[in-house]
Amino acid sequence: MAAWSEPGLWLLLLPFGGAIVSPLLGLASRRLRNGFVGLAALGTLALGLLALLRLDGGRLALVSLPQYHIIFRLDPLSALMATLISLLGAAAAFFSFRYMEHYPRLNQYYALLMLFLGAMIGAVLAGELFTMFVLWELMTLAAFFLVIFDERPESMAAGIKYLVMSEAGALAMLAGMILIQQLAGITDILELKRTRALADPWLASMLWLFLLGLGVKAGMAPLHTWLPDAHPAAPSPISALLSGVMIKVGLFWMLRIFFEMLPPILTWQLVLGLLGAGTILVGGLVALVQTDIKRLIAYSSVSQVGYIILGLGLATSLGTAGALYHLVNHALFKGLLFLGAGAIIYRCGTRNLEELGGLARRMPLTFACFLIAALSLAGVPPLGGFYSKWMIYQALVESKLAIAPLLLGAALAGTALTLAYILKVVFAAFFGEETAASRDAREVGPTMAIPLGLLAALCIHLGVYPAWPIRHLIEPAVGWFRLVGVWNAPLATGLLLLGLAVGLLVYLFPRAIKLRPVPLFLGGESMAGEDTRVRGTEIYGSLMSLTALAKLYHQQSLGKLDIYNITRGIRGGLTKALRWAHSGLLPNYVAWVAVGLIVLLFLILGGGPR
Amino acid sequence: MRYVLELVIYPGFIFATAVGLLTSWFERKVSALVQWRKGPPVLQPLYDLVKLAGKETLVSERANSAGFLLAPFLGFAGAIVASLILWNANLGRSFLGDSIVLLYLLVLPALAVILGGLASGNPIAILGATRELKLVLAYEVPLVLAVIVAILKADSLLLHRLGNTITIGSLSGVLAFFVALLAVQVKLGFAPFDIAEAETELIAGPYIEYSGPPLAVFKLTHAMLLFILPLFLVTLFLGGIDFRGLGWLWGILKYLGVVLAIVLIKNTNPRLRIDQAIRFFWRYGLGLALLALVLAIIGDQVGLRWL
Repeated sequence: MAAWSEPGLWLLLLPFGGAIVSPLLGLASRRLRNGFVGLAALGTLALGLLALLRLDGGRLALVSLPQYHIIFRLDPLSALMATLISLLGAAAAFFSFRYMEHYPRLNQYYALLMLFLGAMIGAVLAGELFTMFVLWELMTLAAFFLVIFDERPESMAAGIKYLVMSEAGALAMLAGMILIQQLAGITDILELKRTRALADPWLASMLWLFLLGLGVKAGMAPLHTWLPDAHPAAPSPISALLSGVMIKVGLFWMLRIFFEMLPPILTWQLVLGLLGAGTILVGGLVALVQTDIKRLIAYSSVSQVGYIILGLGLATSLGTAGALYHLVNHALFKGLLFLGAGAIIYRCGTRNLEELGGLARRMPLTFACFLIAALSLAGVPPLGGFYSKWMIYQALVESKLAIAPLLLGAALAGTALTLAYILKVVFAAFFGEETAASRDAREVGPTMAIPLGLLAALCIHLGVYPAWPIRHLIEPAVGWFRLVGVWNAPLATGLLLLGLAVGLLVYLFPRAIKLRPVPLFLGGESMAGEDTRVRGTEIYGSLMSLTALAKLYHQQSLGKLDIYNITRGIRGGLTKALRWAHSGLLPNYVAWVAVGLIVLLFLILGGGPR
Repeated sequence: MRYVLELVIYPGFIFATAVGLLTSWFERKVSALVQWRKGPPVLQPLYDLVKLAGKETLVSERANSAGFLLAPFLGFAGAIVASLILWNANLGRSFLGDSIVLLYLLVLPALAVILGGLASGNPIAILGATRELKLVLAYEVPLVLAVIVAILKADSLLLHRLGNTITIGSLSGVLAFFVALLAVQVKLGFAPFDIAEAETELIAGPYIEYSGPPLAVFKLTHAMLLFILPLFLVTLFLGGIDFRGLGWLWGILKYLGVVLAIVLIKNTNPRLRIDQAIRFFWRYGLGLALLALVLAIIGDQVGLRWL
């Protein structure tokens, strides 16, 4: 059963087709392959938009084979996610053409990229738990190979860490799914939603397993530690996809399960609220002291994920709408930040903020786009990030939870942290003195600049004119909520723009703009090169030396707070056990195969569990 | 069109500037009296501005000139919209969530100073800007917690409800007001927290390269902040300004009282070092604000209004 005439189905299939065809074309010609990948990515985006518009708030079965546990379904929420994924996918694909040109094995790269896109789209369109699991694993694997793509030792370590943590979570989730299937007998998402089967206290406890699996993928503290390792290791367009959309797939399923399938339950509200608030603060505090540009942005992702989880945890329509809108915003501005970081790395060849500086004059377009994304991230009105964060705050105030004011405090404190760490990046990379690495940098070419500009324009649009996306994208997905009519974001934004205009008038009034360049005023001192250069990485030095924080930062930098390292003992034991089985002797393996065959035959012939 | 008029004349730009400049004169006069001087005439702040606006605009050779020249307007725009929202709220007109919008808008002036300082390319300005950044980080969290106490007491995010609630009539309200007052002191860049400008060591810090009209815009923003921030405290904690009958007179007294407190703190304290200021806010400021918030939550849950 498949609806062949639906764009949604082709949206699902096209990236997989691209993954198969692009390396074959690549054997013939590099240009042909790039052209094809570009077209396939744009086609996916077009199909996504078409599917989203044609759906118009309804629901549509794309593939429905319940007897094989294969169901793909399009509804407002999954259509929104799929479109978002295809948008970021197209941006990343175009960005890759120049960025990746010096890498070897590009045929593999583009095949993996398309596979990754297809798996993510499939994982959000899946309408059944086991369908989702298969595509989820495919997504994890594709991401793993992309993270280790340059095969440097640290990339390998980061990739393995990602794989181990992800798989541990996925296994927990699989256990949860099997238990749900056994106890409730339902694996169809729609049925689970309709019957509210998970509200049963026994089944609800399975949700802890889901929280583990989804939390790892989403980058929720304390399960986030793979993220700051894997994001910098991956090529920049892939980091943009990892942070922009892959972690969102985890959040998307959290939304599905904890908002759609459950009535509000106090325990989960508290758990998700506290985890969200903790994630905001942990991510923000650690981001503050990073010196690697991509690592810093990765920690920032952790922090922003906290906002989304916090909004979800409230289990109100408004909170979830805020979370979803923040998810969309975050996908855009974080994708933009990683691509912008990629542009810097492409031109300067270093990720170290200490070696960067003065790029605002060298790369004005990159700077403008990066600044827009940074301000949106910090939630400065009138950009998108402000609007979504504000919705979450409003939801927190309206919430009946006793700890809601504390959560609100954490969320607002996170905003100050966000402003602090992102201004550090802006300063260290774009302002200040030029360095050896940044002296010869030039603006990037059109295939890199257009994705940057497009994402920046969307960041502005979502903040200046939020009414359309809220009405047509968010509301169908989470249901009606009371907000839009009363709050006047366009008004406040208009006023702000008007304020800027009034300011300019005052400014221009005395004289037509006439500038006279003068040397720096230093009170008689002389500027002697490196000594007077204020490094962006040093500005929080006096914060780090505060006693309480200094200890935490020290522990953190040694990796002692990393759950991956804490569980090293357990993992070591498991490895030992597995090593015993993998002896490398052929007769042993044959024996294992025979045992497996006998067990299988016994199960099948004996009727097996139904 | 109504909004344009409101924004430009009353209670936006012209009104906020006028009141701000008057307050600025009040501040200078009180400071002069404390220091046993005579003090300037009423219109002196205005003369200063007009003179600056007529001067040449100098841009340093190492500056990122677009960022350097546009930064002042970011803060300026934030300040006039903030004054519009705040005054309208006291007149009883507010919109959903305006208190959060206001909090954000009030960060814009600081952000403008930081961006302008960073863009000027002067190492001294950059030092000042990074200090300002650290100060934002230091005071913003306690301030936000204090504001949440007020929100909890009024049980609303609407500014005019906040204005109708006398938060300071409770124990947590007093603590929160104290924390917010100190945060406002930093936002205004007054001693003991004038660490970013620090004229004796950083020579006005982020402003060092500014001259003529852009500097005038910064001064104008500061004058408006001198109006907005005390009014912000009055609205959130002291019951706002009531325009019925003689209420406005009482409102003005409250406003002047807050300004007087700020000016006296400014004139009787020496400047702190940046690390001392951060430690002060993160240890005592945050501690007090958290205490106030916990008290307020307990009071809210148990039903004790005085907590």
